[in-house]
Amino acid sequence: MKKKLISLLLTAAMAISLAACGGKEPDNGQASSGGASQSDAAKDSNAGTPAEDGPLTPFADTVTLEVALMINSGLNYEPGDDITNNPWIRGYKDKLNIEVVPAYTAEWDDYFTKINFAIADKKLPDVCMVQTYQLQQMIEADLLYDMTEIYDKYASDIVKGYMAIEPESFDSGKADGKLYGIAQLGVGPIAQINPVWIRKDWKDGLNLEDPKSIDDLVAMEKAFQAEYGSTGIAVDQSLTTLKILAPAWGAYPDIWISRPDGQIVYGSVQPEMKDALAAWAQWYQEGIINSNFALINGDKLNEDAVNSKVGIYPFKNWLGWSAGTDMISNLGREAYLEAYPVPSANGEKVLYPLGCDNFSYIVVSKDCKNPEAAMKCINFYADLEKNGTANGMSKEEILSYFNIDHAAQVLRVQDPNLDRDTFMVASKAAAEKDDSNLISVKQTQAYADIVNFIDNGDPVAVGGYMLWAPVKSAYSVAEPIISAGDVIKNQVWAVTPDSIAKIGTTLDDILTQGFTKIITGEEPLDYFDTLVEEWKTAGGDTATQDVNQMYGNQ
Amino acid sequence: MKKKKLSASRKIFLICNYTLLVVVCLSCVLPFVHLLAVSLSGRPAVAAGKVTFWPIEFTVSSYEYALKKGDFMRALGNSLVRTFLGTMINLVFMVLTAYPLSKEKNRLTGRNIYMAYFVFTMLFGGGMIPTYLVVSRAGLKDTIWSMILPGALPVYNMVILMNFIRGLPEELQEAARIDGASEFQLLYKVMIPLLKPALATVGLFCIVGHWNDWFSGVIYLNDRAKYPLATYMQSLLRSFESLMRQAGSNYRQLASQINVRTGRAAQLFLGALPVMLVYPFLQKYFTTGLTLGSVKG
Amino acid sequence: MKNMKKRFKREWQMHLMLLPGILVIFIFSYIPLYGLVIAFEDYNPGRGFSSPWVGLKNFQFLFSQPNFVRTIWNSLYIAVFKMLGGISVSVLFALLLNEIGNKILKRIFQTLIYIPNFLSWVILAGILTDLLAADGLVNQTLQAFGLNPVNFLGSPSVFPWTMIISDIWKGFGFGTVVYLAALTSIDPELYEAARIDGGGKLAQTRFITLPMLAPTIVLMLVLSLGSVLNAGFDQIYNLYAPVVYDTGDIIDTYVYRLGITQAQYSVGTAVGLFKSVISMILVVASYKLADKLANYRIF
Repeated sequence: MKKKLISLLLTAAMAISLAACGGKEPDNGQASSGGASQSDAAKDSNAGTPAEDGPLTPFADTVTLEVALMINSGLNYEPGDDITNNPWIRGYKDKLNIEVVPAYTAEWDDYFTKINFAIADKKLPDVCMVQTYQLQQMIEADLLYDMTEIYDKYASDIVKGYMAIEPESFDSGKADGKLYGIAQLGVGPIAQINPVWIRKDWKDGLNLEDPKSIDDLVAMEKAFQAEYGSTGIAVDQSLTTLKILAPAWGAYPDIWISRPDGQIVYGSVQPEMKDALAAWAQWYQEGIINSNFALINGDKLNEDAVNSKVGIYPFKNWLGWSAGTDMISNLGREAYLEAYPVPSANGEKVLYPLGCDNFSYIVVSKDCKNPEAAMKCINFYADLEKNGTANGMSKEEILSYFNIDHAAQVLRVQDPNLDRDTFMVASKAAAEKDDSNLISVKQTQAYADIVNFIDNGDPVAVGGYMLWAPVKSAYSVAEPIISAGDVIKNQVWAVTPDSIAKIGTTLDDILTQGFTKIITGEEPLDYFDTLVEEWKTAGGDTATQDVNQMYGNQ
Repeated sequence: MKKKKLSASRKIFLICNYTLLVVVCLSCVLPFVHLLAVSLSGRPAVAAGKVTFWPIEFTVSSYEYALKKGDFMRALGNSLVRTFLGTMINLVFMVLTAYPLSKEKNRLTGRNIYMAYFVFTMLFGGGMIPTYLVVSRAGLKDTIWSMILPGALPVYNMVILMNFIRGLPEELQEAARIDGASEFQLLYKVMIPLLKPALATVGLFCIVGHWNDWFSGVIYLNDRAKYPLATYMQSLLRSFESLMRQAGSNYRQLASQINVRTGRAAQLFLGALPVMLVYPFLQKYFTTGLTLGSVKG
Repeated sequence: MKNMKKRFKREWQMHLMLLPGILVIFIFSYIPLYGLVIAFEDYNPGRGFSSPWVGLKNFQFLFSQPNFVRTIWNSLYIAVFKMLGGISVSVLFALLLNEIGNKILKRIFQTLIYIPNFLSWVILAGILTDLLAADGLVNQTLQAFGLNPVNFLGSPSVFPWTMIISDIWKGFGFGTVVYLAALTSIDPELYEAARIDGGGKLAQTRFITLPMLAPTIVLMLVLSLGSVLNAGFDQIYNLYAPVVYDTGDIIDTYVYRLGITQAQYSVGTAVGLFKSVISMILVVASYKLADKLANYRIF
C-alpha cells in the first residue's frame, strides 16, 4: 500500500514536470494569453515597416525567450513589480515583441550553483549567464549556440563598440574562432584603481599636507595616533589593504606581470615584495598597523572605522557605502574619508595593477529557437543606457521608467566606460551646479548624491559623494591615472590555465600565511626566500610555465 | 515515601549543580539575546559594534521590514508545510524500518543483510550531482517532494530508534502475538504508544533537520515562491556577498543591503523561533517514563 | 521446505514493512553511487560520467599537495576530541539534570541548553569572534581574575581547542536529549533496590545509571565515528584565519579552497570516497569491538 502511494506520487510528480517541459516550447504561432493586447499593440506600431531585420527590429510574431534571471533581494521594485515583471521585461515585449519568461530566479552564488547542475543535467534555459569555467565546460560539452553570425548581424554598433574597448575580454568568449559567450564586461578600469582613504576631519584638524611619500603617510599615522587615538593603518587578515599599498614599492601581489625580458612572473614572489614586507614588518613593530590584524576580517575593520579608530584606510572605491554612512551617523558631518593616490616609497612613479573585470558571459542554448532575440535584448539595454533619449523616448520617461538596476542582469553588456563617463558628467555638473546635461539614471543619481552631501550632509549620500565628487573622491583620483595610463596589466586575462584553476586559492594561501608570519615577526624577513621556494614546489613553477605558454610571446 | 531531609553533602551537591546549570544555560542563551538585541537596535549602533546584550537606540522597524516583505511569511508557510510533511514521512519510514530490524536474525530472515544495506548508505554517498540527476529524472524537481523523498529514511535516526525498541521488554510483544495480533497491529497498537519518548526524540532531530536545510531548496526549486524559510534567508545573506564581489555599478544597492543588517538579525530570530516553540512540547515526552509504566499497568 | 513456509508465514509482514525504506534508499542512495566513478575521472559535468578515465590521479594530486596530509591530522585531532568531549559533557549534563527534582525547572534548563543547536555557525561565529577577541568579554573576565589573556582564535596551539570546546558547547544539548530519554527508560525499581541496600547517589550512578546508559553511549560513539573526518566545516570556515592554518585547517576547508575558483567535482568526490573508506574501517572496527568486549551490538 505504501509502495503504491509512493509510485502514485512519483507518477503524479512526473506528469507535472512533463507538462512543464511541454510548456517550454516557444509558442510562435499564437500570442500567449497574458500579453495578447500588448503584442497586438506592438504589431500595430510596426505594421507599416516590414523593413530589414536589424539590431532593434521587433519580431513580427511574439517569440518567447526562457531566461535564467539573477535576482538581488536588496532591490526594491515599484509596487506590484518584481524581477519577472518590471518596465524592462515589459519593454522587451512592447518594443521588441519578445516575451521573456523566467526559467528560474536565484541570487548570485545560488545562480551559478544551479547552472552547475543544469550543465550536468544538460538542460539549459534559452539564455543564462555563466562564469568562465562554466563557459569552457559548456563548450566542451557542445551545449551552446554558435553566436558568431548572430553577433555579426544583430549586435548593435554600441555593443560592438564596447567590445572594441576590451577586445581581450571579448575574445575570451570564443573557442576555435567561434563566439559562444558574449562577455558582459565590467564598469571599466576606473573602478579598479584603489585609493588610500584618509579621515578628513583628522587631517584638517592637524593641518597636515597631502602625503607625497610613504614616509609622509607613516608620519601622518603617528600624528593620528598621538592626537586621535588611531589604532593603526587599517589591515585585516586577507592583507588586502596592505596589498593596495604594495605598488609604492613597485610590488604587484596577486597578478601576473611581464618582465622586461618578456617572461611572465607572479608579482607576489618578486624581490620587490620582499621590500614591501620589510617595511610592513617594521610597521607592525612600531604599531603603525593595528596589532590584531591577523585575526580580524573586513567587517571588523569597518567597525573600527565607525568607532573612530582608523584614520588611514587603503581600500576599494565603495568604502563610502560600507563604512562612510555609519561614520557620518556616529561621528558627525566631517568624519568622512578622502581619497588620495598611493604615495611612493622610493621616489619612483607608482603604477597601479589592472586586471580583467569581466566575470561572466551571456550564453545561448544550442536548442534556442530564436537566438537573435537574446542579442536584441542586449542591444535594447545598451541603447537605453547609452543613447537615452535618442530612441524616441523622453528623458523623463527613461529616468522614471527604466531603473537601470532593474534590468535583467542576464541580458545586459556593460559599457566599460560607463563609470568614467558618468564621473566626468556628474562631477562637472556638481561643480557648476548645473544639472541640465544629465541624461542617464546613473548620472542623475551621482549628481544628486554629491549635491545632497555637500548641501545637507546626508549620511546616505556620502557613499556617492566619496565615489563621484569632483575632488578627493575615488574617481577623481582614478581618472587621471587611467588617462595617463599609469597602470600595469595583469597578463592573465579572464581565462586561467588549468593548473591554476585546479588548486584554487591554496597557492595564494601559502603566501598569505607566510607574509603574515613575516609581518608579525614570527619569521625573519629572509623567510621570504624559503616561502618562494615552497610556493614554487607547491605548484607555482607549473603555474608560471603554463601562464607563459598561454599568454607569453605576444 | 520520599525522604524530606537532605544530607549536608547532598545540599552542597544541589547548590553546585544548580549554579553550574544556571551558568551553562546562560551561556547558551546569550547568543540569542545578542541576536535579539541587534534586531532591536538602530543601524549606527550596530555598525559601530556597540550592541552586545541590550538594544541601543531601540526600534522595531527591522521586524516591520521583515514581516512586511510578503516573502517572509510565504517562506514561513512553506517551511511549516515541508517540516510537517517531511517529519511525518520520516517517522513512518523510520518506524516501519526500525521495528523489523530490531528483531534477531533468527526471527527475521536476512536481517543482517538488510541492516548492512542501510548502514552502508550512512558511510558512502554518490555525491550531489548524481543525486540531483536522480531527483530530476524522477520528475521531482520544483516540487516539495524533492526536499522530502531523497531523505525520507534518515538512517542515523532509524538506528537510534531501533536501539530504543531493542531496549523494550520482549514480553509485551509476545503477549500481543499470543492474542493473535498481526505484526502491523502489534506495531500500531502496542509499539507506537511505547515508543512515544523515542519518537519525540528522533522526531525533534527530523524537525530541526528539515527546518534548517537550505541547500536542497537552492538546487531543486526553480520557483522562489516555493522556497522554505531557510533557503530564503540563506539567499538574503548571500545577496550581500554577491554585491561586494560585483561592486562595480551596484554601489547603491550595497548601501541598502547594509541597512538591513539589523533586519537580517530580526529575520534570523523569527526564523529560529518556531522550532524553539515546538521544542518544549516535544520535551514532555522525553521525561515521561512511559515504558515501564505500561509494563506494570 | 516446510520450515521455509512457516518462516514466510511468520515473517512476511515484516519484510513488507521494510520494503518502502529499501525502495527509497535504493532510488536515492544506491543509484547515485555510480557517481563515485568521477573520483577516477577528469570529470566535466557536460560530458557526464563518461569523462576521461584517469585512474588514481585525483588521489595522487591530493596527496601531492604539500598541506593535505597536515589537514588529515588536524581533522582527526579536532574530531576525536569533539566526539569524546561531546559525549562526556552530554552524559554529565543528563545526569545533573536528572537530579533536579523540580519538573518545571528541569524543563527550562533542558530547553535552554538546546538553544545553540538552532543557530547556525555563521551567526555564532560572529558572536564568538567578539566574545573571544583580545579585548572581548572572556579575556576581560580572565584579566579580572588576574589571569593572562588568551589568544583564542589566533594562537595555533589554542585554536583547535577553541573549536573543540565551542563545538561541544553548541552540540551537547542534542546528546543530553538522547541520554535523558535513555535515562527515563531505566527501571525505578533498580534504584529503589539500591536505596534499600544503602547505596548512596554516587553508588547508584556508578553501578546502575552508567551501566544502563552504556549501550546508548556506545551507540552514539559508533554512529559519530561514521563522520570522524568531518571536523566541522561550517564552524572552522567561519572562524579560522591564515595564521592558524597549521593546526586549524581541516580536510573540508582545504578542499573548499582548492575548488573555490571552479567546482572541483572529481577531487571533491575523491576526498569523499577517501573519508568514507576510513570511516567504514573505524565503524566496522568499533562495532566488532563493542560486540566482543561488551557483547553489545548496535546494528
